[in-house]
Amino acid sequence: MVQLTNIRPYIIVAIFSLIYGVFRFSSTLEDSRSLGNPNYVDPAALHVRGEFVESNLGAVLNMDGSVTTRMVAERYLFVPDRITLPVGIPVRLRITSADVPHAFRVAGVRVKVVPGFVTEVHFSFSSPGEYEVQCEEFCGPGHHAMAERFIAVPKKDFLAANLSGASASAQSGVPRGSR
Amino acid sequence: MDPARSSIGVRGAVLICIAIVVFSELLGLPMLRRTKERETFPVESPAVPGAPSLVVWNESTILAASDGNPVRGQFIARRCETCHGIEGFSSRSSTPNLAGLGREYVWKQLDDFRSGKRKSEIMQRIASALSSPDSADVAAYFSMLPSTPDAQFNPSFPQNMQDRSLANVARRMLSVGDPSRGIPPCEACHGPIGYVRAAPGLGSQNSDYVLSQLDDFASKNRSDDIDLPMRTIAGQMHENEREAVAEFYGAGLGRFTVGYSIGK
Repeated sequence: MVQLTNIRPYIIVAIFSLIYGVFRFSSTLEDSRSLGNPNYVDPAALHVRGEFVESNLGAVLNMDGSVTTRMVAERYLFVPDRITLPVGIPVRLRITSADVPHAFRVAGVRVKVVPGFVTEVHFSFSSPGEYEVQCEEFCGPGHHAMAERFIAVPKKDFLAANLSGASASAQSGVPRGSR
Repeated sequence: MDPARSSIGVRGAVLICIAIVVFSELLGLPMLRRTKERETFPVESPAVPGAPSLVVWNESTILAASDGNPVRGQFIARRCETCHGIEGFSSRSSTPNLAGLGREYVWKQLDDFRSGKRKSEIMQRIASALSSPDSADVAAYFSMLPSTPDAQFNPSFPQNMQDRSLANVARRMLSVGDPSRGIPPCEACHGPIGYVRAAPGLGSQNSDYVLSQLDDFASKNRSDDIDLPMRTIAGQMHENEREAVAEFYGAGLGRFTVGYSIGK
């Protein structure tokens, strides 16, 4: 049995291992970002260079059949303000903030959007419909009115629209008021 | 066995801790990202052709835009009086009032006119004659002008609201927005309850000008708003809402925080 006089070094090792283990193996920062290469962007220059320029926002069908969507969150709206996505196809959403932190939940995934970083999440819709998503991270006086509309359409409708040559990002520019 | 000798001792404990650290480093298990790994933002590279504006709000541009000399700006701004009025209040409702506008906004607009990102034949010629420091001086001057006009100089502002029944529509849009469409209240960005960088104050602006800009944003004829806020919002607003908001501002009713009560 361990005698009282011998226990101090073991306590030291145990406490140190606990603290070190928490720091070493913690994944609290990794819940909604890819583990690989961290993506840093300049929030002031999103519109002039990089993957979040205006022409690159919206949903695009990848070669392997999945869908990649790029969005920007700012005060007090998401751009593009409505996105059409397919049901049943894996969607990779990459989003960044132009100013302050925002957050929302879509398809069971919580997305935290922070300026300077690119948040990447993977999800897929299980049923069609229009999902109105509100901002959940207080961002200022307009926070209550900050919303995004995800429109989930059947797979074949989405593929028909995107494989025929019509650009998916063209849809995202249609103003809601005109519908 | 002698307890003192069989114990590993504090030194031994430290050695074990070091061994744990070395072991897990060698294994290369995932770790918190160190700030050293952060890549620096790339050096200025040319903007993509479709960029809405060439202005990037970093430390140097913010300083350049807001550090103007208003006395020198008054001298330069004499050429602006013909259209924009002696005290920054124009006599035509379609020409914008410049009195009291924020420095960063005016500086950015002059830059957008100069680069052609905001299309106006006459303003492009005028802005091309101004350098960036000149623009900052002019912006400083206009920002310091009082936002209430002097009647003797025949300003167009304020105008009467043509349809007062639209006032409630405008009040709602200014102070509440429309959460179901994702339209934030105008006051959250244009003041007075909140401001975002380079969003112009509208409390002393002419109605025809506000309406023409909202319509231009909605049709995307004007596209110099960074990250598409105004094009998106104006496109979501119905036509009568744009008219209501424009007339409300032009009547001077948006100068103070606008209340909105249901069931009035």
